Amino acid sequence: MSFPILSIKKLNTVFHTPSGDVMALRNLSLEVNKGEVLAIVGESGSGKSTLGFSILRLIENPGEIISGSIVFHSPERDVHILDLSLPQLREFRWVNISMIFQSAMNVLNPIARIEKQFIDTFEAHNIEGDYQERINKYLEIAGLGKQVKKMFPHELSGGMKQRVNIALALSCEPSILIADEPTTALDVVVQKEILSSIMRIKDELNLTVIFITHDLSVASSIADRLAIFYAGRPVEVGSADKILRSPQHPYTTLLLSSVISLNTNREASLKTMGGSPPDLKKRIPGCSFLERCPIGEEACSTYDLFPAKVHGDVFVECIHPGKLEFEMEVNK
Amino acid sequence: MITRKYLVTRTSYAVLTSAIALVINFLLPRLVPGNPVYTILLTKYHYLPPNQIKLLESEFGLQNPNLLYQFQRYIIELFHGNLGISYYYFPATVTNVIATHLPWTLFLLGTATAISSLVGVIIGKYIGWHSGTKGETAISALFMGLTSIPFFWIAVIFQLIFALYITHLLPISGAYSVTLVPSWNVAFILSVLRHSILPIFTLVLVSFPGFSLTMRNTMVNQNKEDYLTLAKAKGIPERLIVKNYAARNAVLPVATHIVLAFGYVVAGAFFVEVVFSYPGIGYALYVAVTSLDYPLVDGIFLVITLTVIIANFFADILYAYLDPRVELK
Repeated sequence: MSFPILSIKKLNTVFHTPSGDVMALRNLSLEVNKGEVLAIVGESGSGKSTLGFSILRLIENPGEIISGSIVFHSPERDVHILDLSLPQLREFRWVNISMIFQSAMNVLNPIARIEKQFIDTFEAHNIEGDYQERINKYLEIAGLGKQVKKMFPHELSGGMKQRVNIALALSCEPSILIADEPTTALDVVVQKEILSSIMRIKDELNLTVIFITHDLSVASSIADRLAIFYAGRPVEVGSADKILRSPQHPYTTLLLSSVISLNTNREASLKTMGGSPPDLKKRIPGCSFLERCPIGEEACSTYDLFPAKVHGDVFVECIHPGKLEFEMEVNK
Repeated sequence: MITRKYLVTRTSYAVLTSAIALVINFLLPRLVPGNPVYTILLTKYHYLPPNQIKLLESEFGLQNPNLLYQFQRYIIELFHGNLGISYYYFPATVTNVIATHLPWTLFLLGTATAISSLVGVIIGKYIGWHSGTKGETAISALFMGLTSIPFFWIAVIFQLIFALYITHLLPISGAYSVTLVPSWNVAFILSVLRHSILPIFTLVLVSFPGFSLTMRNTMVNQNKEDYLTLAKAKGIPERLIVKNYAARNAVLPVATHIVLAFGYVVAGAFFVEVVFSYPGIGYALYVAVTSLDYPLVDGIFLVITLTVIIANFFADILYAYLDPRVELK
């Protein structure tokens, strides 16, 4: 039996722009279970990073979380993140939920030694104990030598910087780690190493990981559950195995069909999806994927967005779940 | 990071620039037409017999008009600390004139630059962090206005207000009361301080907004930096984010600006000292130029050039110290 550690309900995050409000997250509800790796997959602009930033309330002007609730279930109490005062929020961040950012290159303070960037975090949260020992421990967990702590960010390679970020994210022993495209800026070899570090650490430290990525193959290699995002909402959420084997939402189906593998027939042209995501400045009646959906029909435009439960723990936001047939490539 | 190699290279650059500056300093005043012996001494004595003119010319080293010869003498004498004899302050030596004027300038403009850069950076940090608010917009606009006010104009206005018409609160000009003899006693020091208030205040008023606006702009750019997002996510208190993350990075380009401003302390003395009749190097320069005092112009230009070069050198060193990324390429 799995218990939720994070419950997000009816979350609305908008970005105010001169030409109108962009609804980046639209009435989003999602649960994250303790100890799992939940991969959030979606294309650019689908709201996946906005979700990560919303959870830690890092959305900055012109962005704003306008309604909803995010509840962090710790063993002692439930924390309503959106209701925290700013000082409470400051104390809550990092020791409960920490984050690895996409821009590994630029998230470290360029003029401070690595150890200083750990120490100020410890001091901010009144963490006790031997700081040096603690830094050494987490650098080692992230696969770095302790000599790194005396260095400046510009003396490290991209992969090393991202490892420092991982060490930093773990150093206050959070329950949830949000990894926002942690490997996007890195080359494939380093990407593989970083991913396996995260997976190993996750087991060692009993972490819950929210892994945000646009790369379906990365997601499928590490996730327990998947949440497929489209136009600011999860359109399909459930066990990774089930979704990958038999996707129910037409978007997921088309997305999976476009994945190429080593076995893909090289003569055949790549499968792509026509059209582009809807304009989030406009209210979207019914299903947001309707415009691009090959099986869309009249009824979809008035469909009241509500995830339907199909086989076990998979939720799909479609009136015809599983109707679009999926021709899976032979994946061995 | 400051490495040995970095120091050596920076020092050799400074020496090379000084050498070039020396040549230009020597040549420039000699391109101005006229002969000081005729213009100054004749106006003083109205008539001198030709043999005495010859004598004076040889005294001033002008008997041989060959530039190369004069330059050679110039360099040799320079390294003996001899910059020649001032035509105007005759018989005082140039070194002497500079030595008596330079401390006043360093005091007046050094203090003003220190105050305006400190005040400027602190205000700039604050308004930069709160950029986009109505208050910030108003302050920035006001500062933009202040920086565009010509110094001499506002200085005269202040003289009229604080020293002449409305109140006689402050002395209008000079460095100290003429009734006092310069010495290290309380009365004299107080007089010097009282005389420095108006020029320093005016200088600060027109120069601190420039530092503020530079600091504001670099602070505003900090808001887009990813390391600020991480600092927030880490739960660092806002006070420390501003101090250790935003301001510490934002001040880097401003620091160079400040050190260079110190380099222009001597060069910038001209207007202030002329307006306030302050006996500094700027005033001496004014006198020297208007009386074709070649050796003094040369000497002062040399001091100005050297201060700028030295400031540049320190700016490089400071920058390397503040920013670990700066390394010699």
